[in-house]
Amino acid sequence: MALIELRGVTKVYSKGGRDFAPLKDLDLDIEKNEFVALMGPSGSGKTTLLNIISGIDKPTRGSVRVGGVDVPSLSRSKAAQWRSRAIGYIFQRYNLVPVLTAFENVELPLLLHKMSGAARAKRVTLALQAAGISHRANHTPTELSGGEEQRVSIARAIVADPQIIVADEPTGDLDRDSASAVLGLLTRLHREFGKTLLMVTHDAKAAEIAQRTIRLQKGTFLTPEPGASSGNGTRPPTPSPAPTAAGAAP
Amino acid sequence: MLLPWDYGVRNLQRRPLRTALTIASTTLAILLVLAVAAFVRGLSRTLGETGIEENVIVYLNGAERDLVRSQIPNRTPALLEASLQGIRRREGTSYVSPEINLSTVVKLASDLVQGEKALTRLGLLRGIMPAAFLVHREVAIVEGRAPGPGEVLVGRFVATKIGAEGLRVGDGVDFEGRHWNVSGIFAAPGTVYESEIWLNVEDLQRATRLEDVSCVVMTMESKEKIPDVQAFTRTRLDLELAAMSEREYYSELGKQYAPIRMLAWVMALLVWGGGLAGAANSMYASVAGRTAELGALQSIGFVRSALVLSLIQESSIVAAAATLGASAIALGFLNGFALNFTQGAFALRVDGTALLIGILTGVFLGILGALPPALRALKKPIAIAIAER
Ligand SMILES: Nc1ncnc2c1ncn2[C@@H]1O[C@H](COP(=O)(O)OP(=O)(O)OP(=O)(O)O)[C@@H](O)[C@H]1O
Ligand SMILES: [Mg+2]
Repeated sequence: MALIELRGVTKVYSKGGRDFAPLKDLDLDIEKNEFVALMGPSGSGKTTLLNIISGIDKPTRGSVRVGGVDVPSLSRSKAAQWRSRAIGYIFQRYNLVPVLTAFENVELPLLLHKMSGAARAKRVTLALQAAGISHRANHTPTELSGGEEQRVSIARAIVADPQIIVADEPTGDLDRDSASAVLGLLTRLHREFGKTLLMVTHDAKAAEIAQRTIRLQKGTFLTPEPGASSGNGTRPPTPSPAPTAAGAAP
Repeated sequence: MLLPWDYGVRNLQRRPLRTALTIASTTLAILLVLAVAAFVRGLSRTLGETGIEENVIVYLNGAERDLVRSQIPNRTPALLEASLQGIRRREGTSYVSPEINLSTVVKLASDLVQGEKALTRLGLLRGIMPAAFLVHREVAIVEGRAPGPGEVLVGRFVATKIGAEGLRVGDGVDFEGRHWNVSGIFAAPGTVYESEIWLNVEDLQRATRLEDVSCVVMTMESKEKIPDVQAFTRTRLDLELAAMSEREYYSELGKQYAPIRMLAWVMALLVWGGGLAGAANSMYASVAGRTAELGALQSIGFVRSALVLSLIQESSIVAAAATLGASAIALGFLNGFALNFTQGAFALRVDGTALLIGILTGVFLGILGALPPALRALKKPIAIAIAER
């Protein structure tokens, strides 16, 4: 069974009495340790799809199983607990807490787990290192550039060592240099740390670093899923698991 | 499972002006509530605590408990002393105090100069004999001495009661067509006596051409003897007397002030509501810009109750600072502040109960002020919250 498995996922919104469905009867499989890029025009339902996979939003119909967990059946607080272990979410606009330092922002997910302060500090340090932003640990978001903020947000996404990282246009607000640095970082997460990545992007070049690109349009995949793949790359053989961030921590 | 404690503090530090204003307005709200509590406490204490347990007041039956309207013959005190068992006696003196209660216009030296334009000052007079100091043992002369002929002894709050700047030993007052000199000042904390002018009963009778006294106050050996006095007044119907325990008399008097107390509490409630609206409003402002942040925290895995707690903590810091400030101001400036009312004057009393009410107000403002904005911010679906700019 695939790590992420969507069957017949439909999302319907009612707007002004009229229903409209950004997601229509979608099937999707993402294997463990896959790096998938998700493309599609604005309003095609990409963010909605990420949110449904993360348990932030619920599908109107259909089943969503992530690592064997029936995500939509979780209550709001159960979903929050599950998310804190299973998913690292990277936002287009970073969404760091402005009053906390980079270090404290990265520490946030660990506050949800039973862990000594020292163990937390060690993990945070490793995550900041992995994201190449250790030198900014004591700065608050306002003192950081966009690229630096996104690195902090990536460190925050990986610090609790989730198997899955979802990223919603992680380079959307960045200049080219910062963007390519962030993309390099995501590639490392996939290659070195064995993470499963699902990245929304508008940038075809960015999508190239993924093993597979899927395209949403008007609520359906352009290329039927599962089975065939589209764009660049073919369905990869599952690579041998690389050491994870937690693996790196004693 | 909670956000770092600093989160609230730092959010407050981010907007120091708003935080300062919120603290100031919350302080004001708590202070007003404290003032009302101190007012009610002071009023209740003065009327509730005036009187000694073993004291009984004998007055004219039919005077409807209004001592000013009561008139009993001059010989009655001696008759009571002779007829009743159980009156306290010490060193040959009986604790029997005939008294005149009178309310009259009092003029200060400055009023005589101003003539017609002068304020009408209503003073409470009590004509006494030396036994009064035995019977009213709460009364202690703090300055000067007991009144001789043509002299008066004034309570600490007489100045407040008659609207004077202050009265000192040696000052003069005019009433009942005569000039009187202040021989001393007395204190009787928490009682109505402190706003009374005391003078010798014969002096007062001469000045007013009264032949009667208003009442007789007696200290019994124990409060269990008071019913005996009441039984006596009921058997000797010819004397037309009634008796009532002194405590009961003043607390009955206090019941007249129930509407004022109600009004005071209603005011406190309104102030409370205003304070709550203010606290909620500034939390709304503070949380409004943080929707995306709160959404992101939820997507990281923080449950809503944890975030609500953080926001409550944030507003509680403000409320705690305000409570401290308001309590300090209340203790420093309100406590003991004397106020005038018909039955005398009394001091605002910031006691434990009043402070507790103030602190509870602070706690409620802290918690309830944060709840509506927190719940509104967190009611939003996370997906929508994250996307907000
Ligand atoms: N809570 C909601 N209520 C109503 N409509 C919604 C809601 N959330 C999303 N939509 C609509 O669903 C559609 C898909 O939205 P979504 O944000 O998933 O698109 P997207 O592909 O991420 O677009 P973009 O590239 O602009 O980020 C849009 O038309 C959007 O307006
Ligand atoms: Mg989107």
